[in-house]
Amino acid sequence: MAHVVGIDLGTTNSLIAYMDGETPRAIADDKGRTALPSVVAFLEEASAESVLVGEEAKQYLTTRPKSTIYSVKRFMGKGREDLKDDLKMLPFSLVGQEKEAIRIGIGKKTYTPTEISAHILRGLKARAEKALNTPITKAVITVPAYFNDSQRQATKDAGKQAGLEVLRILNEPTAASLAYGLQKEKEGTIAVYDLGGGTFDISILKIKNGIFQVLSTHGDTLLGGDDFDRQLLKRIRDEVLEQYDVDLLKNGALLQEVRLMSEQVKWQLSSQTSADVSLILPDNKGRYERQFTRSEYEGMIKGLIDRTLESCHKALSDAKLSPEDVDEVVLVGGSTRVPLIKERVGDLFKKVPHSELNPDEVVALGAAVQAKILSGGITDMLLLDVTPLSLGIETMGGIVSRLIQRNTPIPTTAKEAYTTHVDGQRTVSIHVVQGEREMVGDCRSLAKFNLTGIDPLPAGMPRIEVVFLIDANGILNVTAKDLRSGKETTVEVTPTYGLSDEEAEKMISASMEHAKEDLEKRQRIESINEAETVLRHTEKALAQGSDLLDGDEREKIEAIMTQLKAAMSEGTHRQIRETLTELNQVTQRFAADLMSQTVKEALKNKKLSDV
Amino acid sequence: MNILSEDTGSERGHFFEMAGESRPCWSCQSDQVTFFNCSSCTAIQQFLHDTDYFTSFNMGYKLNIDLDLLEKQYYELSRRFHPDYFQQKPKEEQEISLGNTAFLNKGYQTLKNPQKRAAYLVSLVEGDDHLPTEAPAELFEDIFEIQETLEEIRALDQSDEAEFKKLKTVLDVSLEKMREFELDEKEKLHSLFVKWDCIEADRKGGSFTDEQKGYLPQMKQILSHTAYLDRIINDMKAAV
Repeated sequence: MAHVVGIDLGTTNSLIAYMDGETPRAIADDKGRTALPSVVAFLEEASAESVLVGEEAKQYLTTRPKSTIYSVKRFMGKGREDLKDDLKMLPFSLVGQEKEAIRIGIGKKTYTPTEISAHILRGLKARAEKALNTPITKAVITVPAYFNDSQRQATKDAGKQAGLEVLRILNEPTAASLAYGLQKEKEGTIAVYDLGGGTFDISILKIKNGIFQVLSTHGDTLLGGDDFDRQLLKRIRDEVLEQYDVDLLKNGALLQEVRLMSEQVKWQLSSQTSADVSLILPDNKGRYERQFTRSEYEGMIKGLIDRTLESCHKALSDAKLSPEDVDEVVLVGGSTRVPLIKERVGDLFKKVPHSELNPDEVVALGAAVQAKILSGGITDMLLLDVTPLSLGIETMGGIVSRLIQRNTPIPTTAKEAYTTHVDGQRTVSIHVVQGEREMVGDCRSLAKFNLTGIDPLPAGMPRIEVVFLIDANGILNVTAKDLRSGKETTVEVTPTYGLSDEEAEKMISASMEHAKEDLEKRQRIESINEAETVLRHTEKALAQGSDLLDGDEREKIEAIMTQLKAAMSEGTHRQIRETLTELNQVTQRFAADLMSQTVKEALKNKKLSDV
Repeated sequence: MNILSEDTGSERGHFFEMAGESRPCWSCQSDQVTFFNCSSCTAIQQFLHDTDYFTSFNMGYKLNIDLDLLEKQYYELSRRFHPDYFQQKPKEEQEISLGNTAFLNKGYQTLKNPQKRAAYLVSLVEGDDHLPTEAPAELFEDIFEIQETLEEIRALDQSDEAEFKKLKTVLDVSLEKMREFELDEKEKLHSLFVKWDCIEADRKGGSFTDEQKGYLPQMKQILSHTAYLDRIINDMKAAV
C-alpha cells in the first residue's frame, strides 16, 4: 500500500514520518538522523542547478553565506514591507518590490520562499522514498496554527511544487496532540505550548472518546528560538563593535558564525549555568572572549517568554477556561528545552508540563497519524480544529464587518447580505480581510474581487449575498451572489502579499492596544454614515415640502445642516452625534407635516374601507 | 442512550426523516434516504434546506438544553460527516460532507450559547434573522455617563496616570452595574425558556402555539439588550 506521509516543515529542522502499522515513525537518513536541517544551499558554479538540502547544505552556512538559505519559513506568504529590522540581520539578500512577495536573491536569480521550501520537501520526499522503497505522492504538511491564509496557501503551493498532493494543511499543535493522545491514551483538557525555531502557538484542546476538539488557539508567527539567538547575537554584535570596531553586519560569514555560536550558547545554558564564547576577529583585530551566565541570558529572553505567556492567557480566555481547568500541559518544539520556559509555563498553568515526548518529532508523528486518518486507515480518531483569525469584509468607510470570529470550528461558512450605496450601481467590490482589528487598513488583505452586472436599481435595493467557506485546511473560499439575478462570482483566495502583514502577526495583541483609537474611528465613521443618510433625506424633504416651511424654519434647518457637514469633516464622533440630534429636533415638526401630507395624498382617491 | 446510533434511529427517527420535503438519493435515485445517507448505495446526503439546528442535533425545539447531550450529538454527527472521513470518496460526497459539517459546526456554536440559541429560535419562528441592538431604557443615564467617561479616557494625555486611575475607578463601578444588569436580563431570559419549554413538552407536532409565540417579543427585547450590553462591556474593557 502506498504510504501517505506526514511532514513537519519547520523553521530550523524538517521531518517526515509514516505509519508503521499502528505506530508513527520519523524516517531517518543513512546516519540515523531524523531531523533534516531546513537549509538550502545553491552552488552557483556547479552544473545546471546544483542545490543541496539539509546537513549537506548546512556546512555552507558560513562559507557561502549569500547563497545558503535558512529559516525560510519566516518569509512564507509575506511581502517585503512585512519584515522588521530584526529580519534584516540576514547574510543573504531579500529582493522584491513593495506589495509583492518576498524573493531571495542568489547570484543573478531570485527565488520565492515557496520554491526554497519545495526544495526541502523534495529532500524529505527522496529520503522517504529511499527508506520505504516506494514512490511518495501524498502528504499532510503541518503549519503553525496561527498561520494566516496566505501562509497556508504558500505552504500548500510548496507541496505541489515538490510533486506532492497535499491532503491536508494541519496545525502543528493539533498534530502534536494527536501523537500525544495516541501514546498516552488520556482524556481531558490539554494545552499544547509549541515554541519552534521561528513560530509560537498555544492550543487548548479537549480529548474525549477519540475526538480531539480544539477549543482555542493563539500565537505569534514571528517568535521562536531564532529570536532567542538574535537577542544574544545583538548583544555580541554591540560588544564587538564597541570594543573592537568590527561590525558583524558587514561580514556575512562572521555574522553566520556568531549566529550559530549563539545557538550553541542557548543549548549549553539549557544544561549548564554558564557558557563561554570565543571569536577570532578578522584583520588581526584580536579575539572576542566572553562568558555568559544563565541568569544573564534569561534576562535577555524574558521579554520574549512574556509574549508567549500573554498568548496563553488569550487562548484560555477565548476557550473560557482558567489555568486550573487544564489537566495537562504538553511542551512541543526544540525551544521548549530552555529551562526558564518550562518554569514559567509551569507557573502559569500551575502544573509541571509534560516533556517526555520527543519535542522535535511529535509534530511529524502527529501528521503521520492524520495522514492515516485521511486515507481511511484510522476511523476512531477525529480532529475538530478551529480557524485562528477572524475573517471579514470591508464595508463603507473602511470598517471591517466580521463574518467569522477567530476560534470558530472549521469547516465553517458565513453568509452576509450587502447592498449598493449609489442609485444604479452595477458593480460591488468585495474586499476580504483577516484579523482582529476594526479597520480594514489594520487587517491582512486576503483578496479583492468584483461582483459585476448587478441590475441597476435605487441604492439599497439590490441584495448581494456573500458566502465565506473555510475548509478543513483553514483555507478560505468566497462566493458572492446577486440574489435578484442569481449571478455568481466565485473567488479562489490566492495570496495577496504585502499590505499590512506585520499587523497580521500581532493582530490580536494590537487589537487590545489599539482598541481605544479603533473604537473612536469606528464610532466616527458610523456617525458620518448616519449623518450622510440624514442629510440626503433632509435635502430631499426640503425640496419636496417647501410649501410646509416658513423662511425662519428653513434657515434654521439649513444652518444646522452646514454645521453637521463641518462636524463630519473635522469633528469628533461626539460632535457629529450632537449636531445630528439637533438636526433631528429642528426638523421634527416639518417631518411630521410632510409625512401626513404624503399619507393624505396617498389616500386622496381611496375610500376608507379600502385602506 | 445513543439516540443517533442506527439501531435506535428508526424509532426516534422522525426528526431525521426530513420533515416536510423528501428527496431521492442524488447518486442512485433511490428513495431509501435517511438523515445520514442512502440506505441503498450508502452515499451521504446533503441536509435539506429546511433542516434547522434543533432538528439536526435532535434536541427538539427546547430552549433549556442538556449541554453534555448536545456535545455528544455534535461528536456523533461529526463522526458521520467530517471531511476527514471522505477523502477517499467521490468529489460530490466530499462536497456534501464539507457543507454538512460546516452546517453542524455553526449549529453547535449556535445551540451552545443560550442567547444565540434563543435568537436562532426567534429567527426560525419569525423568518427574520435580524435582531436589533438596543440599550435598555432604564440605563440611558448610565450609558450617557459611560460614553462621557470613555470619551474623557480617549482624550486623556497618556502620561496622566492619576487622572486615568480616577476615570478607571468610575468606569469599573459602571462596568459592575452593566454586568449585574446583564445577569438580570439573562435570568429573565431563562425564566422565559422555562415557560416556553413547558408548553413545548405538551405540543404534539404542528405549529408553535400562540402562547409560545407570545413569549417571543419579550425574548427579542432581552436579546437586543444583552447584545447592546455585550458591546458596551467590551468597549469598557478595551478602554481600561
